[in-house]
Amino acid sequence: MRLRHILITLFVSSLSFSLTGQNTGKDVIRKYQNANEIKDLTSKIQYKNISKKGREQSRQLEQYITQTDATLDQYAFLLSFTAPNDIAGTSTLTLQNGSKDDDQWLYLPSLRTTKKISPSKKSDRFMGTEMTYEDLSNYLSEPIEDYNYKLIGEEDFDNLSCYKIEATPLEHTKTQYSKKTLWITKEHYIMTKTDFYSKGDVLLKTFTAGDIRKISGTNKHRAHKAVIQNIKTGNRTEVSYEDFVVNAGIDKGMFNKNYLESL
Amino acid sequence: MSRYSTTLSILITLTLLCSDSVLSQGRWKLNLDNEIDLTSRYYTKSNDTNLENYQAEMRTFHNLKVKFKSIISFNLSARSVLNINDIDRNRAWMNEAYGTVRLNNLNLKAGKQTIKWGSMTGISALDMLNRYDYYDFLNTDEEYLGIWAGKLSYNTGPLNWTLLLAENKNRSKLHFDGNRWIRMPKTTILPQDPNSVYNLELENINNINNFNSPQISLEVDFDIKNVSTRLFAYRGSNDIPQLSIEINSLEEQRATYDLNLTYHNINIYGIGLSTYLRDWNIWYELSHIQNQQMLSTADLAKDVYWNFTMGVDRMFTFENPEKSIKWIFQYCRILGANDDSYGPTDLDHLFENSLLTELQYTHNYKWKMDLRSVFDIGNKGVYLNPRIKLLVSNQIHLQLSSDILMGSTESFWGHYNDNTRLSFHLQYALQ
Repeated sequence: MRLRHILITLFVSSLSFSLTGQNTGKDVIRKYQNANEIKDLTSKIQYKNISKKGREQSRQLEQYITQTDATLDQYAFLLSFTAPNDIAGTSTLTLQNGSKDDDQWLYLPSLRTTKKISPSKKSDRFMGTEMTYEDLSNYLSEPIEDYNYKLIGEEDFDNLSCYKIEATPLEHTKTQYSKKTLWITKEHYIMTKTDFYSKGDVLLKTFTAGDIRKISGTNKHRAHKAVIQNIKTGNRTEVSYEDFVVNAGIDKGMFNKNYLESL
Repeated sequence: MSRYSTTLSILITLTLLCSDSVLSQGRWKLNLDNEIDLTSRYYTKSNDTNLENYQAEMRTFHNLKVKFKSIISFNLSARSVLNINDIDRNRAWMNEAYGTVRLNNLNLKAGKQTIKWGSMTGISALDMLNRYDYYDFLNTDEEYLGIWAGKLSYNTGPLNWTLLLAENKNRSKLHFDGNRWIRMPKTTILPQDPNSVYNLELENINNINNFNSPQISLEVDFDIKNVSTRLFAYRGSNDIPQLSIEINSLEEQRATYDLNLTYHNINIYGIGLSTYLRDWNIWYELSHIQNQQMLSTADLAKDVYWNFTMGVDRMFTFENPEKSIKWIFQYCRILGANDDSYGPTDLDHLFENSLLTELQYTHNYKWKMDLRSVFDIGNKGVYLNPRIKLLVSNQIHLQLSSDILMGSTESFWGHYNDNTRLSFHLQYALQ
């Protein structure tokens, strides 16, 4: 009787482990999503593109992001370059439209006019960086309905204890990646590392984030530095963020094309 | 004495504003940036303006912006020019001084400001109204002049309205003496004495304003699916004047004259469309222009015509993020005008039947190449502008370029073929 009880207990435990093996991955992602959810955000960004041969291109900009539809997880982005001088004043406005193409406008100070431009493809590089429009969109909101998340272990990264999760796209998902491996910190649910794989499961690029700090006036934490290393081309982008302001209530009147000229 | 004081003021301006700074204090933000451009040009041919073939010029740009949240901003823009060959060109001035206010979907920009009347990737019919310093006709992009104006933009969901009201006094700066682009006649034959050639001497320049009301334009734009539509109407006056000469006195073989610059009413109405097809941006504009032209009798006559233009542009990117190609192509055609009555220097009809292209190639983060060209199909003229740029750093850019003008003297480009030149440009941004 005692032996039977032990066998049943072991069976139930192993069943529960295999069931929660899948669910726990999604649970971690949900907690990550809750911890990082934003209604609006502003910050200063400085990024540097570094080629394989060591040539550099640096840019400074200000970003303004607001959630336009909480149910559909849609955002509007306003980006304004502040340096160097030859591109200062260049601004873009992007309005996400769910499954339809985004609406995008570009203001060029040299032309002194705002024009609507063809929407960028998901796989297009964002402003010449190693980050694509798909990465940017996922950075704002992890597409939980488009991926299967499996907790594959726990691992320390950069001295931080992390959950290691494998994200594989569901059949309906349109993506340039065959899978992603995510490292999410246990303490603040911050994505500290992502490995992106192309078709054929070849490692394409790696995103790593650090300098995790609390945003003043909130209970939220954010990584203030990030590096995206393209394994295939050898190029990388180094990003640093400053002056994060989250959920302070951005004036939505800013997000129209007439305002781009005044930025 | 005034020349020396101008030069001195330029040097003081430079000394005082020799740094770039950004200060943030709470919701206030102050941004000051300065730029120095050194340009030297070598003209391959001489002309009768007595200017040296080699010219060197230094220009400085100083911009101050003070911003409060996203609601109010104040902008000041000062400039100076120091030309070592042409001392009359030297000056320092406040080009812009304006404020912006935003209240929800309403944006107001008021004060002295530079205005680009056309809203298109390429050249719009409305761009003939832009105010420039026309010292160098090939370099107008950096020569916008500020005028007093108010611009009100209002967004009502699907519609964007823009109302622009601007003064009608400060027009483009034209240089009638010692300039490579505006060449006043040196001699003439008078009807009363057809056998003698008279040397001409400019005495006075008179402005004749037949239209004194402020300039006004109204524009509304909206999107229908992937097509952006823009309807616009402008009422104002011509910026480039109609020129006529009035002989004052005759003395042996010498005649003095007044140059009359006549300004008159001009109305422009039009529609602009832009859309995209895959990665290509496509744009069109059709405008109806109610202009006037000066007859040989110095009387003004109606000059009514249509301006049609269409263009495409596309950015090509590669796996190597350093490389990119941008291609812009525009065709301009004027319809319904009396083609025979325009001369090669008639700027309103410069792109009467022309093809404009620009090919920008970025080789890497340091090197960029660019080829701009204009093909005047109607009058058989060609303009080529190859440029090669080295970005030494974010602060220092070097550029070597050439302006090649050729073709029939009936075309603007052939008429000014002696302005073909080689240029070296150094740009230093203080930041």
